[in-house]
Amino acid sequence: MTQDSRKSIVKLILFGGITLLALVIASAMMKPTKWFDEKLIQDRNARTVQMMEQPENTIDVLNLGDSLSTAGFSPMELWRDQGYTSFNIGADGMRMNEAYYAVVEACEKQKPKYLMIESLTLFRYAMGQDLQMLLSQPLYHRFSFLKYHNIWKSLVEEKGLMEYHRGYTINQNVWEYDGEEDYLNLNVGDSNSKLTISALNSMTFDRIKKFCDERGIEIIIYSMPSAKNYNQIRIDAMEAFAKEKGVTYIDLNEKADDLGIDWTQDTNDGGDHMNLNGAKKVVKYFGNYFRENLNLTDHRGDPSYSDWDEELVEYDKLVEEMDGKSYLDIYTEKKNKEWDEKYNNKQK
Amino acid sequence: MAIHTNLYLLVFLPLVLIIYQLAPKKARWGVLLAASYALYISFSKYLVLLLMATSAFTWGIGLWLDKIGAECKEKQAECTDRKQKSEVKKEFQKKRVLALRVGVLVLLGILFYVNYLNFVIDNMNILLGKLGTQLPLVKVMFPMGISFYTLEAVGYIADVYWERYPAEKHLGKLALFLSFFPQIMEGPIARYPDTSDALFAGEPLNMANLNEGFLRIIWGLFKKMVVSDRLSYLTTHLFGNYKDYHGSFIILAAIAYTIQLYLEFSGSIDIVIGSGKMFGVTLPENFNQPFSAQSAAEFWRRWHMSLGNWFKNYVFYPITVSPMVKNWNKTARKKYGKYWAMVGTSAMALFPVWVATGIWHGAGWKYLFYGMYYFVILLFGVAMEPIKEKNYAKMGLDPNVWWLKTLRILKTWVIIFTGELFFNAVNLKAGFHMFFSIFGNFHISSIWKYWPDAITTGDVWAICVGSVIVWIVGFLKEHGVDVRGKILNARTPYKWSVYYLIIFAILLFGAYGTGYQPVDLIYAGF
Repeated sequence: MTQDSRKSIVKLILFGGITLLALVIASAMMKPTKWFDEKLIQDRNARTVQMMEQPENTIDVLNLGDSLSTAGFSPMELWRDQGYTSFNIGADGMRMNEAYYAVVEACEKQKPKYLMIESLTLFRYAMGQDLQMLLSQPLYHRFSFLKYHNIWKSLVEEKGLMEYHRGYTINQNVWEYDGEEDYLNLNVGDSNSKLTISALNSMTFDRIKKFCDERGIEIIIYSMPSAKNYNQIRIDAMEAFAKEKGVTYIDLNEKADDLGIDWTQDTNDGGDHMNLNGAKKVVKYFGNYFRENLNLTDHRGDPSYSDWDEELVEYDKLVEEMDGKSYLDIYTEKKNKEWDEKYNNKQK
Repeated sequence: MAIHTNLYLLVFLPLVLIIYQLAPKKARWGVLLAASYALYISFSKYLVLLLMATSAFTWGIGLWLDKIGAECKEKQAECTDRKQKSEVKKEFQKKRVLALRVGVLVLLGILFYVNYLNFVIDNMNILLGKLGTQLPLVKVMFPMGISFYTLEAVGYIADVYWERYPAEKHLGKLALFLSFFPQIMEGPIARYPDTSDALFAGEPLNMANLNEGFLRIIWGLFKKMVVSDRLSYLTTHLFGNYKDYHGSFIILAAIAYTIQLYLEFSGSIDIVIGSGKMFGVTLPENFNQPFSAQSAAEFWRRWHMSLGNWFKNYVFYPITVSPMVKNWNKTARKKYGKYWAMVGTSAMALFPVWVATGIWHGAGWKYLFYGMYYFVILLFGVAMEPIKEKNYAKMGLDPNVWWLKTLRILKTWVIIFTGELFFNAVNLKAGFHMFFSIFGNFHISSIWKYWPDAITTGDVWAICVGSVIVWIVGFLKEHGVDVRGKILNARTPYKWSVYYLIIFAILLFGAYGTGYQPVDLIYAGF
């Protein structure tokens, strides 16, 4: 090897080393709650950040999955009904690889007893994208600078309107499902969401299970009622998968009638996601199930959990204030009002 | 595995660089070929066989042409007089033309089958529908990069036919030229002598090339991730919901899409050229400050230059010197005068070029319209040139005075924005709908009032600041300041500072991360 080659290799290593060091320093500085109000974070990381802010070891149940899970499960309702503490750590369109790191990060300060996984995440798969995530997710996990890089937007954008209540955002929109009643016989799925569980997702599930087993966390897989996303093929596939992995599986689609799901009232987007009405029914079911089958503590009345009571008051107030509207409705109204004021003032 | 993804940039490219460097000099072209096929398989799977077959076919046609040429020379050597030689040449010329026709027709036939057959069937079905019958559509898989490597293959066969260079004897080497992994998805469309020597030389990596390539790649990523990908959320929304918008929003959509397309395509080409440079391969440039152009013709000499050069070399020039056009020119000069002969000849040569340019971008009426739009504008430019010159002289105006230049640039921008509006419209009907809706209900203020949620204030800031930085660098280059050269020649601490500045600007302001739908390369779909 010539002297020039040696010099080049040293330069390359030095350049890489400085880049790495700069990333480590930037990541140490880029702790969202260090510089910014946590409510300023309105993107998919909002739930993770707020989860990190929860008092240590106070969350008993984690609810994981894509938007089906976050729209259909309100931790505040579970608190009201049963006094169990839970948190939604899912995100829109969540993939298994992202889900793994959401669990790892949630467990940094918490020792939950149960992890609920909404099953649609397990069906989400597109080889190219998932292979990319296999590389990017560990990087986002190690370097918070990469994960929260969009935080600068908070400096130039108005404060977010969305309020999260232990990972749940209130949505009271009603948009009825007018499709076939027996939706389990219909076709579902697209290029990003399959009818079977891919080998990569199965492997990632195994990683989550191993992580949970080591911490004594029990996994429950469930399927949220969703006329647009579930059919018998998916439910059968998930049942077989859960059996193979030795975990409990609860399908709420076949139980939709028992839950009292009214497809004209309980969905906010024509049968895709639950609205608050639907979420209350789902939580009621799970509340009873947890009480009868799981070992959870009712924390109501415990002074160290008083913040849950305080938040419940705020939550109920907001539900009343929103008066059946979604955040988008409120946002549009606010914008129009602002504009009208500005425009009328100018005319004056 | 597209060239802007982390899998390519952080794993594939470094791995190929390492293997290339470790391989013996003679085997390095093989490493590049294997890497090229591996990358191709990652997005087109077994369609790599079509790429291989195309390479083998092109190679065979080249050898056939060479063989005919050699046989012709042998026979001519046996001839005793000129007349005999000329007859032999004529006889072999027929065979050469046959070889050329077979080569070009097969290559373009495959391209037609993959890209255009269903478009033709669709349109025939509209007519046949009235007779109560329908032709079935053909199930076709799209082989990535077919529009690019087909043009390279046709160019190669034509050049061998014209004896610009001899046919390549080594199949693997020709296969590498057609499949070189950085350029297979989006070009630039190279000619065989542009890259062949460097591809096969197997020169070891060196710091100068690595530095140049690296700077080019991160600059391309900056353009794509900070500006273009953020703009795509706005343009996707506006073009997708075009019926909800009119007036100022449509103008905004056209301008935004033009900037998005330029920064996305030129950014990707930066990544391509940078990747090639790392291996010591200098790929042709594709852009040269297109928004400094003072006419539509100049714009096309600065925009997608490799495609423009291809059409100039293999369509425009051959038509211009064809006997038919020459004869027409001669007759027209006598009959209608020099001016009309010039306009007519230009029309005859430009028409096929712009039909081809239009449909090269895709099978659709909007693309054909896009080509015809530029055909009309360019022909009008040709026709007006002598009149313009006369008028300048009459008015005593210097055509190079700054305000006239600015006016010409602004006029060219309007032409470009309008063209891109049709180019990106859902279809031709939507393009006309958008175009005419500019003139209805035009209020600048509606942009503020009805600003779509698809793009936030933060995005707008990143887009504006990023665009200004790109514009400053382009402006300096246009005025002879080579910013890239200056950075590369600076001392290491200064050079590295710029690298870190760009890298951290991308990491902080780039549109990436979980939840961001990765924006596909626009030209990879053509």
